[in-house]
Amino acid sequence: MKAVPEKANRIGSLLSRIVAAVAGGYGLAALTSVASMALPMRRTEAVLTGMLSSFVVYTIVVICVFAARSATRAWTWLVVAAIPLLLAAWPIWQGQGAG
Amino acid sequence: MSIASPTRNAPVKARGLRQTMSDLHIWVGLLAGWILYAMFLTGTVSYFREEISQWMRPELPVQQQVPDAAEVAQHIVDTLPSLAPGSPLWTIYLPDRRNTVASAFWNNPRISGRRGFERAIFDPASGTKIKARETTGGDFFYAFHYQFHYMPVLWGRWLAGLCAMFMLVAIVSGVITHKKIFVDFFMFRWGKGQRSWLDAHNALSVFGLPFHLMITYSGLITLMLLYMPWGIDAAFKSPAERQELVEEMRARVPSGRPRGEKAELASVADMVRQAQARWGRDNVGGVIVGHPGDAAARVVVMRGNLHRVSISPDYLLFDGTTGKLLQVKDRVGIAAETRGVIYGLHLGRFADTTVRWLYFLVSLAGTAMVGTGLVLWTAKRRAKLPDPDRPYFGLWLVQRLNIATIAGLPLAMAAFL
Repeated sequence: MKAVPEKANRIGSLLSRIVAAVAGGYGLAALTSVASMALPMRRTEAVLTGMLSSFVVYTIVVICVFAARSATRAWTWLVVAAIPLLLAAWPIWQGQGAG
Repeated sequence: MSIASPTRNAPVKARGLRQTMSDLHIWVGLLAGWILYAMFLTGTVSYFREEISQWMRPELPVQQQVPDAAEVAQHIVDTLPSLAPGSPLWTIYLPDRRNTVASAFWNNPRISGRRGFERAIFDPASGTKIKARETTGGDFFYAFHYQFHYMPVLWGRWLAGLCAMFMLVAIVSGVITHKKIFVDFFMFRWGKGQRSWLDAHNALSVFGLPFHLMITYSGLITLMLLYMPWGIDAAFKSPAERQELVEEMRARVPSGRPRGEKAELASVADMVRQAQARWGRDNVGGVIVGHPGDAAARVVVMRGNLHRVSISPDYLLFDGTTGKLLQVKDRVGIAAETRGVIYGLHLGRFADTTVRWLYFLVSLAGTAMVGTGLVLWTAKRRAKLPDPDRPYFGLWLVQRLNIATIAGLPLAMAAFL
């Protein structure tokens, strides 16, 4: 019987995508809102820009996670997208942000 | 839900993007649908919040003409010392074309916490406090729209945010799913069950698409400080730094300590008249007084909603004891103004009667879009059943919830009136 693991596989992959979309999407959106502090503008402006764009990022991530060919790919892209954002956000968390 | 079709059990081939987006649209829509329906409907009627409040308190005087803001403000400032003695901050909202009474709120310094928050409404002609029946009026629907009343406020706001994100995803995935978006808009198949519901759903969605996108995104923006605080936390370490941000978003009296010397407040009517000269007679939104009765008193006169969409701070700051104009705040940064405009678009306070009705109608179309979407879900599955009168549990549940929400909520709202 191959049907049972097949089904379990499908559900696992679906769950994985849901987590990637909801949690990963929020994570990436939050990272965007912090990373935008690296933008060359006044700090209040950068903060607001980050917040305004974060919801757009969230939406795009959710769509892409479900459009991706597999759950593994979706996660890979999430991580790849997070790296530059992390690099930009890191100095701000360390308290030496631009502004 | 496992609707086992033979192809599903075969090794899953990469399905088309449109099919994936369709599935996403269906499930995101179903899960958040009932709450979104309630948010859309209560939000829709909130475009007539003031009118509903007026209708529910017929004992309040009917307004023939907007009273002079300068006189009203002075009346209320004269009344407040006896109502709110010792309060460090008075916020006064003046009547306008849609709101016939003035209102004010303040913190009672002798009661700490949220219970120290007091408010009253005033007769604009005399400045005396009005006793009207205890009703939240249109404010009930307004608050329900994003707080749902039956749960803690913060939970409600998070739930609203989650559903708004679902909505945003539903809109984008819906557009990707919909191939012939323009041609289909002119097609309607009556009396064909599922097909008719689909056509109705499409027409309502496409007709209001820009509005639906705007209202959903801007809804998230109204509470973005709650949903996305991470940038603020990272950028601003001290409360003083945070104040900089607040000043980009709303009118406020600059923080400062009272001097401890008593001093008469200068004529607030004169300050409001200076504002009227700038913005127009009926375009003063309200007055904030900081440290009234103290030598360090400050008065902020806020601009009204006429002729501008943005809700960004736009005000005059006066020295409260000398009446001298200290600051004209009439611009904020680009990002702050963007936020102000998006926020303003959501509230629609700038709208005159025509635009307000347009807002109402498109928003109602949005409500119907969610409603038809929910019905479509059941119509589609019902048609596939061997015996449509004996649905499986999931379908039965969705059918019942649909009826309860789509028909029940408007009934309940009508009863509230």
